[in-house]
Amino acid sequence: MMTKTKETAKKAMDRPMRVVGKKYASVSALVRDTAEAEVANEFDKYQADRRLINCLTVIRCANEVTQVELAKRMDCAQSKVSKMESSTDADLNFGDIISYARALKQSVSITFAPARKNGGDRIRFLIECIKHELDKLAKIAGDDKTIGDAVEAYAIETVQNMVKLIEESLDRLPHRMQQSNAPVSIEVECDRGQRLPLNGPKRVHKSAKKTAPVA
Amino acid sequence: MWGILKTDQYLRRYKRYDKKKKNELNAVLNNLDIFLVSLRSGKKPKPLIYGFLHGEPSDVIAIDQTGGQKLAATRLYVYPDVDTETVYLLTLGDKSTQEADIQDCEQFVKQIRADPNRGRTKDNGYDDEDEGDSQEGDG
Repeated sequence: MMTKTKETAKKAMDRPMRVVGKKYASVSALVRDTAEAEVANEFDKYQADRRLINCLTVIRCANEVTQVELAKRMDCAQSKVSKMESSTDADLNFGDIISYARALKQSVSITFAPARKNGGDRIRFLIECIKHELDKLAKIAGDDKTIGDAVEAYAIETVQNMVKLIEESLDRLPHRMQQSNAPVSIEVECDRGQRLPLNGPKRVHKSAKKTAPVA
Repeated sequence: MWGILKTDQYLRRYKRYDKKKKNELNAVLNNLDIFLVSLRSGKKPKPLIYGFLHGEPSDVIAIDQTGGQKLAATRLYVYPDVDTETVYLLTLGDKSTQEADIQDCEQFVKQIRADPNRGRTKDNGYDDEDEGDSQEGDG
């Protein structure tokens, strides 16, 4: 008579697993494809109910901080951290969220804004946020030319990075994927009369050149 | 970018859990999502930085249901293939199937490590629009 271990080993040999289906970019996409719509919606809701606490858990682990260490920093018991991470966002205490984030040296900001209708509105809002931050830097620079030059250089670098990121997003558009490395090229006209290309010289393509004057 | 591939055994067990242990299933899949976020941010699969991850032989990782409340012990066995940036969903199980599950996983990992085309699907890309495949049975 075979022992239990031998039986299980035989079972594994008899029925090898095989990969089926396609590659998924996200767990949500996997569930949506594997289960019925109702089940998939339930899973999406399960995740939506834990978005904040999932995010905090990822930050804690990315910083290689254990629950015990975090509890020490928060001046509470480890069981409290564990309980928080097992909760839904609705069950979290606002003070605990702040305390958790601060213990991980994270700043917390809350934004109140009208419900956004679409992605375009959201992007416009984020651009306003960038402007707000750059305005603050400009205020700090005041009349100091050295700081002013540094702020200007930083602002240009920021826009260049944004162009690169936008280019990456646009590259996902189906019609652009058919072209090889179709570049997005933007030039900025400075108030000093200079024209600055916002992307690297290798990616500039005359046929795609557009001019975006900066106010 | 890290993506997910599933096995026939995972699909069979998924259907079983989907009927009987929905909350456990949601909890392990939520933890899988956290693990995936971590991989995409550049973290290596090991060391295991989350409490819900357990190391098994052959670099297989078991993801448990930690995070949900009052849930039965459940494990989702995965194999993160760093070379192809693919997380293979191998099988789902509990304590009663643990031994056999681990052996199945070891066998599978041996098999895919020997396959030069591993991590590739027919079109070698992500396709989230199609309907589910019909290759698996409900055994």
